[in-house]
Amino acid sequence: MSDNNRKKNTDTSRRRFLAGGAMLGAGMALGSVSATEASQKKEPSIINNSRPDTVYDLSKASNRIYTACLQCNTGCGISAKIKDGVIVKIDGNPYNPWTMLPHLPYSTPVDTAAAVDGSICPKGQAGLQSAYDPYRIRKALKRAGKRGENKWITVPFEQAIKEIVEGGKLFAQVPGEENRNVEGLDKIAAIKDPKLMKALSTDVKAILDEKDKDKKKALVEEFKQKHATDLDKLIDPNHPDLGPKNNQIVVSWGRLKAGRSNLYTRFADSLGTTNAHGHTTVCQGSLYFTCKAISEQYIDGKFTDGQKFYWQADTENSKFVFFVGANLFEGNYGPPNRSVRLTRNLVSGETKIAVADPRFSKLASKAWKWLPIKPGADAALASAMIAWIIENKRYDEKFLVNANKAAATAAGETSWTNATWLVECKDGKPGKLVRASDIGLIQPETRKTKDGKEYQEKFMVAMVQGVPTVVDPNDTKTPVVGDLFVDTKLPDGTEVKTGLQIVLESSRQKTLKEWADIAGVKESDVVDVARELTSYGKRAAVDIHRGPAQHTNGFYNVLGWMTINMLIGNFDAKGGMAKATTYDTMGKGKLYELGVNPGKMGAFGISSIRHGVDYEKTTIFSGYPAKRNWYPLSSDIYEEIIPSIGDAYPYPVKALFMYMGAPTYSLPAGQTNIKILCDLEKLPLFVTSDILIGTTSMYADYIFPDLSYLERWEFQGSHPSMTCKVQPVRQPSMAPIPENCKVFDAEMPICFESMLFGLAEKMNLKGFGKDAYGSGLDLRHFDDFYIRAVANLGFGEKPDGSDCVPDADDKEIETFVKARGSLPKTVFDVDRWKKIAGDKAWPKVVYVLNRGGRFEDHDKAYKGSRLAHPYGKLLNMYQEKTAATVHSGTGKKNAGYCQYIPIMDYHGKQPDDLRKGYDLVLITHRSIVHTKSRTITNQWLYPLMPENPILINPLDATKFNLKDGQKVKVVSATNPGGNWDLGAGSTKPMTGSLKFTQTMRPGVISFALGFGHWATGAADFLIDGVKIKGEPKRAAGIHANAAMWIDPALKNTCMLDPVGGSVSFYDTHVKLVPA
Amino acid sequence: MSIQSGSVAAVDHTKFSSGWTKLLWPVWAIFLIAGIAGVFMRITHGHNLAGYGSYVPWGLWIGVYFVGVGISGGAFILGTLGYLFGVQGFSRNSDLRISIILSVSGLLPAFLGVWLDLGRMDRMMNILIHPSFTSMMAFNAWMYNIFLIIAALTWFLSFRDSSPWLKPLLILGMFFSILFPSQSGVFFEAVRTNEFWRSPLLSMLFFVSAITLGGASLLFVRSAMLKKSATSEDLSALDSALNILRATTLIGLLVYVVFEFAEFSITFWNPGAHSPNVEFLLFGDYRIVFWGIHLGLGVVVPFLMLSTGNTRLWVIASLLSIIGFGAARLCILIPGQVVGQIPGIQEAFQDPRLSYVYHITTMEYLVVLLMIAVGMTVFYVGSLLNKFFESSSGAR
Amino acid sequence: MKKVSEIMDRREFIKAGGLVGVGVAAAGAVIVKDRTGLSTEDSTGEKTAKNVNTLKNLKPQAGEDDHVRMQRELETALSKPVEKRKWIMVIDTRKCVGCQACTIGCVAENKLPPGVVYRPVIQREVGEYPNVSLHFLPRPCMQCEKPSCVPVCPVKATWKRPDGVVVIDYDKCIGCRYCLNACPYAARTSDFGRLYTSGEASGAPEGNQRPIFGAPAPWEAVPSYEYGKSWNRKDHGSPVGNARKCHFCLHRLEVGLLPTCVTTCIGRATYFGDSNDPQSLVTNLITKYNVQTLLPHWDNKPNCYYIV
Ligand SMILES: Nc1nc2c(c(=O)[nH]1)N[C@H]1C(S)=C(S)[C@@H](COP(=O)(O)OP(=O)(O)OC[C@H]3O[C@@H](n4cnc5c(=O)[nH]c(N)nc54)[C@H](O)[C@@H]3O)O[C@H]1N2
Ligand SMILES: Nc1nc2c(c(=O)[nH]1)N[C@H]1C(S)=C(S)[C@@H](COP(=O)(O)OP(=O)(O)OC[C@H]3O[C@@H](n4cnc5c(=O)[nH]c(N)nc54)[C@H](O)[C@@H]3O)O[C@H]1N2
Ligand code: SF4
Ligand code: SF4
Ligand code: SF4
Ligand code: SF4
Ligand code: SF4
Ligand SMILES: [Mo]
Repeated sequence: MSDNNRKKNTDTSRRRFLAGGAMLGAGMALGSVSATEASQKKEPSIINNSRPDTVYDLSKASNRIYTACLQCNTGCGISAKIKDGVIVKIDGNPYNPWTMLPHLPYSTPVDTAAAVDGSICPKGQAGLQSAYDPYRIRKALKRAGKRGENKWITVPFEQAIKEIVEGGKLFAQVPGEENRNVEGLDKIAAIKDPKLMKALSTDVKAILDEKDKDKKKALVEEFKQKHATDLDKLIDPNHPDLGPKNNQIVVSWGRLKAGRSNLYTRFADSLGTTNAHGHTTVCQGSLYFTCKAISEQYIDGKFTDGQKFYWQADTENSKFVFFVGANLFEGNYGPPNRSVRLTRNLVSGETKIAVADPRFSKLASKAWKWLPIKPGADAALASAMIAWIIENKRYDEKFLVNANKAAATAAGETSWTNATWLVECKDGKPGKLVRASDIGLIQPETRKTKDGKEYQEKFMVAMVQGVPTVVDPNDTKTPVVGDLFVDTKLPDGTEVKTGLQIVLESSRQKTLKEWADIAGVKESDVVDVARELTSYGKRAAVDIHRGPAQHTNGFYNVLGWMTINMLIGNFDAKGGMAKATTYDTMGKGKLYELGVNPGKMGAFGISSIRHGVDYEKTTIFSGYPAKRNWYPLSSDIYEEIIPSIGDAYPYPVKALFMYMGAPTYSLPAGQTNIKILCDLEKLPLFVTSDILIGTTSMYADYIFPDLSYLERWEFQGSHPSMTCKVQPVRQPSMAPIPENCKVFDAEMPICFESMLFGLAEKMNLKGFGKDAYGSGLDLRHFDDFYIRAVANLGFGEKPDGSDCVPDADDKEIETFVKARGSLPKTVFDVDRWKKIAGDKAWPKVVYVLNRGGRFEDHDKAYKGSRLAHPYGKLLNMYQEKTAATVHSGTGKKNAGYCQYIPIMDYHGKQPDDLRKGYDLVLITHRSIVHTKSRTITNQWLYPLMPENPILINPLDATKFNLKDGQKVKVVSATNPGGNWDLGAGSTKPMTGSLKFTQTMRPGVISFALGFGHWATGAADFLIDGVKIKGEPKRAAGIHANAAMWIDPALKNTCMLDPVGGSVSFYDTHVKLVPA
Repeated sequence: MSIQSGSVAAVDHTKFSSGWTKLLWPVWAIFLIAGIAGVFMRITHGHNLAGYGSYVPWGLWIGVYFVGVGISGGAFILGTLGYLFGVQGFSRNSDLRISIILSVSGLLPAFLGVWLDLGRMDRMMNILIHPSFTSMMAFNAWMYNIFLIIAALTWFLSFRDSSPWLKPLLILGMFFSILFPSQSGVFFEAVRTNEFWRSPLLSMLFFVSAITLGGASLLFVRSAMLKKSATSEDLSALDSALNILRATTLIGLLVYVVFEFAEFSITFWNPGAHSPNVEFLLFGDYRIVFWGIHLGLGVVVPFLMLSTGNTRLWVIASLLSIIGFGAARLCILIPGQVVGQIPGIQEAFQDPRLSYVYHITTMEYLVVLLMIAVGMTVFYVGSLLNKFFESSSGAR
Repeated sequence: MKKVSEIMDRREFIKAGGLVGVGVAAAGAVIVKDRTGLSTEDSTGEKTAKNVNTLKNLKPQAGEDDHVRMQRELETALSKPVEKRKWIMVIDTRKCVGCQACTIGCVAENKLPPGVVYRPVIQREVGEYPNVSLHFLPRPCMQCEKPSCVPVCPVKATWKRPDGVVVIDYDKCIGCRYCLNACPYAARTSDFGRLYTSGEASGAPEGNQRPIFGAPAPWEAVPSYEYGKSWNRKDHGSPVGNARKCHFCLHRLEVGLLPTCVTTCIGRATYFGDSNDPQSLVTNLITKYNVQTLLPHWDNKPNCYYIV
């Protein structure tokens, strides 16, 4: 049978081939094939006419490259379908679990998979238009006018590199800058010797660790004497903790994925700067950093190793999900993978969902209940539910009582909380966790740390049926099952409570009714949802995203919702809370250890955004409020990168690199960043990597063209809702648009990597070029890194190679090469690739790349009712580490448990002044059509949404006498003019047209992200004196971020969450002025 | 108001023979130049400068096309009937030829209009080569072409004294010229999924308007063709013709309005039948076109003018009623297209060509000017040929 | 005025009668002919049965994605002669998340220019705050059993195939747009020859040394595969000027692939298959659920069903 089929199949393809041939030959030699023969051979056409039939080659394995989308950060697996060297269509990669459910088994032959298309969103399909955007730059651009004036000249790659490294009067041709000398990187990176760096760093650490003020001073003096010869290499010898001058180079990014991130941090490490900052806080920062705080582990006597990550519901298997401020069908991570895991179950009744969102989202249209929550009141709603759940005993007691790993294991759990651990409460204020040895329960035990140092283990305490009991958190042998609610005094008089008790009390600060009123929802709805949530055991979850996180109280909103998840006990359960799991690429299996960096400088010093360090420990501590906020718990504080440069706090910055980020556009009150970027004094050198002249790169001194996501390498990673282990690979799928350059003697397209390599080569940084990964392992071409990383991926994480992927057979390798036929040698060269990979790894590299990454089969993601890749650790319901930190704006201690806090500015003041006369709350949301500042370049998306209206409930419209469709300006107390100040004298009014809709909570208005551009091809610009016209369609719509509040205390950045670092996106009050 | 012949016996020729026709030359020249500009725009920009698109697929040109078809059919019917029945002013072969020429000069610019309207002008001939007669469009196209042949034959035969084929062919021609204007109504009626068009009255409306258009346009051209040197025989023939044409036009206008009333009264008096199309027409965006141009300027004003004895007013009335019928065509064409049946579809995929709003654009107007100029040219050349053959063959 | 008897003599009268009679008869004959035998040149019979079997090496999995199931069924259907298959589409609006992936997937698959769309997704808001809802309605061509678009075509450029798909031969279509008016679903749009990237980056230098990529973008020049032929819109080539509509992606069906709007449906709301196959998922759905069609009063009898 199957033989027969195969025969028929080849017959068919031969026939098709003949038909194709006939088509080619038709013009020249019609007579050569006799008519009868042709008609016998020919398959019947769909339409019989004189036009010849054509072969549908898009379904061939050799006409596609599987890669990963980056039209948004969901990063779905895609198949770039190529015809005549051009990507003409993009579909989903069926091997990739984002686009099919279940996805095709990894072992499926490539020819078979080629017949199956996975599902992706409209932006993903339009992605080829990002790559082939007419406005893509091909050459390095250098500023030829004032910053922001959008005048450029093209410069050779080598020249740009040389100028940036060496400095000088680089902009002498620009009026006003004739005499301005720009310091080059080589000079800024004053310390070039890692040994010196190490010596300084060690001594600085001692200074920071010294608690006594006077002793600290003395240490500084000592330091100055000891390092007298090197003081000129420090930013400020009087404050050595600011670190070396190298820190005055700030390396920053917006959307950066693994692979490129490894190279970027390698670059920063080699430069010796501690300042490498990402964009997390503009995104959903407090979600990450609250979960980081929840995931801090008690290791070697302290809380450490918290992961910057978060959990989401295992959507596919949940029976009830409460989606809070999560926009699954339009944004999130993301529509293709999450919709498919929901719709079938919704229709079958298997799953029920509720939504809390001030805006009736598309997701809400499928929900059993919609709670139109007031913006900023998430913790109030969460508190109400916590109170109800606890009072009605609907929490998962069996889960919460487990005080350590052993207890969890005994109960069939993988994770456990510290809900039962005792917390010391002074004057009713919870502080440190009680240590067993401190209260004489046990003698401290001498143990060894991971790196072999000795320390005293003091142990935690839980009440076991009223008896204080020692808890060894990670102990796997002695289970401790603690009492949940304890409010008592220890024999020594210390007031103690369990974490859960503290949470309960916090949730009882108001009545259910009062909480519901603050949240603006019906009390009965709160109870209904809480009941549902606790009716499905572990197969229920609260799934949250930006909605709760992006507020000044974001950290505690997130903590509130995560606390509910802990109460449900759903972590690591099928249908509960899941985390992302990815395959390693950096050499866990020791094939190629790509973390090795012989040029690593070991940078030290206070970060320019003051993260990861306690203000109080530094030598620049000067009481409260501090000039700007400090972030002991969070990092990647996007809204601080440029404004800190503006304030030169903690120190001035001399050079800023920005990769794939548009803070001016993406941040609330992004105009504050424009002002600083335009200031040559505050920021002498600004270099960007971009695929076009973007909303932020237009303020740069140099723009290096980059490869778009369809031309480059990256490892996309995963998202928490994805339960199987994966690693999607982004790989070159089309010929590069930028022109070529030469670095380390290798020919490469100009791109982010070649920019880094070029700078590194010029500066002689050891982490690049010859022997960068150890002897014989160079890093001259980006292939040297990526191919090895893919080889690692194929090899697996076990040094014996036992979890490797199969080898690609010869036919597959042939397909592989054929599919890349249109790629130039600069990005694809079989021989080069094969050589880098090594003969053994090569067929595995092909196997992985032919499938767009490495993906575990669907059925491997679960073990019975549990996730196969559990989090499996302690969850801090009560966070001792957080409770020890101080809010640098108020000097008050931060709380270590969930609580409702109103919206406040940096000084802890509620913004009542800013609200007066501004009666509408401005929020923002994603539409499926656009991604931030990036997708407006996609022509196919225009007709879906030519502009974004301002959504308003007709009730408000009546109140303020507004008409449907009317043009209005968005105005706030911190932007009374309602304009974008674009620098260099130009402005853009924040006007949009109103759309009446019943989907908005009255009193709240919203606009979709992605419109109202002033660059990215939206406006005219000049290159080499030639004017290139912008496309007005790209300027359409409104981007109302500039109306979002500027923090009245900080004055040059938006309002922010002082703990989690998030920016405030949904707290501003505005009014609408007819335009 | 009276329309019996008695009150109009005294036609004052002096008033309109006084050279107003000279005006037609500059008008023609302007229309031609403007029209060529329009066609240039059409050729260089395709259909993109037009107001129609995919949701309103047909615009002004199709409306004007139906005016041309109406003129053509009406003129032929009236000319033939008058000729066969020996009505004074129609009975001479030269009278017949004017009708035939006018008929052709109505049809050819109409063809031009639809041709320019086609997406694939290069495939125009497909409609004759591969017709599908389930389509009224193909059917009409064939009828027009057969009719054109018949018109040419009858014209040719009209120069011969007493050809035995002239009258039979005229009758066949008349058959077609009754058929095609009324089938133009079916053109719309056949769209069975269009509530607004699906009225059997449309064919009657189209037929009546054809007769009226024929009357009005003949009225116009015959008064324009009056010569200073006209013989008294010519003059009395003309008198008679003008009076009959005036009466035809008057009655035609009246009947048209009655039919129209009947048409809309159905929707009007049926309380259950909410018709957004009729609302659009009568009270919505098209109310000016309907009440103002079609009924006011195109019916009431000409009606009043034609009711006087002032021949100069008759000429103006004839022009107004032609324009009015142009508006009347749009009043059928446009309301039938602007109401989508799938609400929200415009917002689902937004594009200027995917809109249920139709505004006539400059390019469309300009092309219509060319259609008129071509019509004028055809008629003028036809009259010259008439004269040439009349003088060379000595035919009447 | 003459009396009737004076108008013509007898012979003329007979001639006239004859001519008119022949005219009427001819007209009647051609109409009847075209009405009854909507003659198309579609191939039928055994030679149209195909064995594509592309999924033979795909291991069956527990709870396979509906897309895979439907693709397997598609292969079964293709093994029958064309007239034995009947393609239908079922759209479960309860599962549709209004993402418009299908709209753009179709645009990409068929290289639709601006102003041409085969499958818009209509969004409607109903109710009042807080009792509000959103409904989504994708609208492909209904491939009507009694397509009102077909009989109006003057040149036989559009017809219903034996498998039920209503197609357009772009090489025949003259672009009169009669069919656009005749489709109550607005499923047909006209290709007015526009380009998405024209006008972008104007003024940009050209040549190898150009600083920016410049328009027109290369994807825009790529021919489409509709109907299994190659259509290059360059230089006013068809389908420029033609009516265009959804064709159930026949060119994909015929090689064993599901329509693009189906494969890319992230909500798995779009089903496709052979309703002549009693085992197929689509047959299952239309018999199990209370399905509806759009504008049923026109009696077009759509082959696209909605589960609401
Ligand atoms: N189409 C598209 N998809 C994307 C992206 C994109 O740009 N476009 N970007 C990707 C990225 S980077 C991210 S971070 C994710 C973001 O994914 P999501 O966070 O899921 O998306 P948003 O639309 O930002 O969702 C915020 C939701 O919170 C609601 N909201 C506003 N204020 C409040 C509040 O106070 N409380 C509550 N409970 N809800 C509130 C908003 O109405 C909105 O529905 O999307 C990713 N996917
Ligand atoms: N109003 C409103 N604003 C928001 C949000 C919102 O919901 N509403 N959401 C926020 C969220 S979640 C996020 S994550 C941020 C994101 O904000 P950012 O991280 O700042 O990122 P993008 O807006 O994606 O900007 C990326 C920029 O990089 C450039 N670029 C594009 N492609 C490439 C490339 O391939 N290579 C290089 N080198 N450069 C490229 C372009 O100039 C583009 O403007 O936006 C935030 N802003
Ligand atoms: S959801 Fe994001 S990553 Fe996935 S296809 Fe759409 S744009 Fe691409
Ligand atoms: S939906 Fe319209 S285009 Fe499609 S077959 Fe029916 S009538 Fe024809
Ligand atoms: S537009 Fe084309 S397919 Fe439609 S009716 Fe006219 S010729 Fe036929
Ligand atoms: S079946 Fe094909 S042509 Fe029809 S809407 Fe879907 S993708 Fe478009
Ligand atoms: S792709 Fe599916 S879910 Fe998305 S709009 Fe289309 S039918 Fe609805
Ligand atoms: Mo984000």
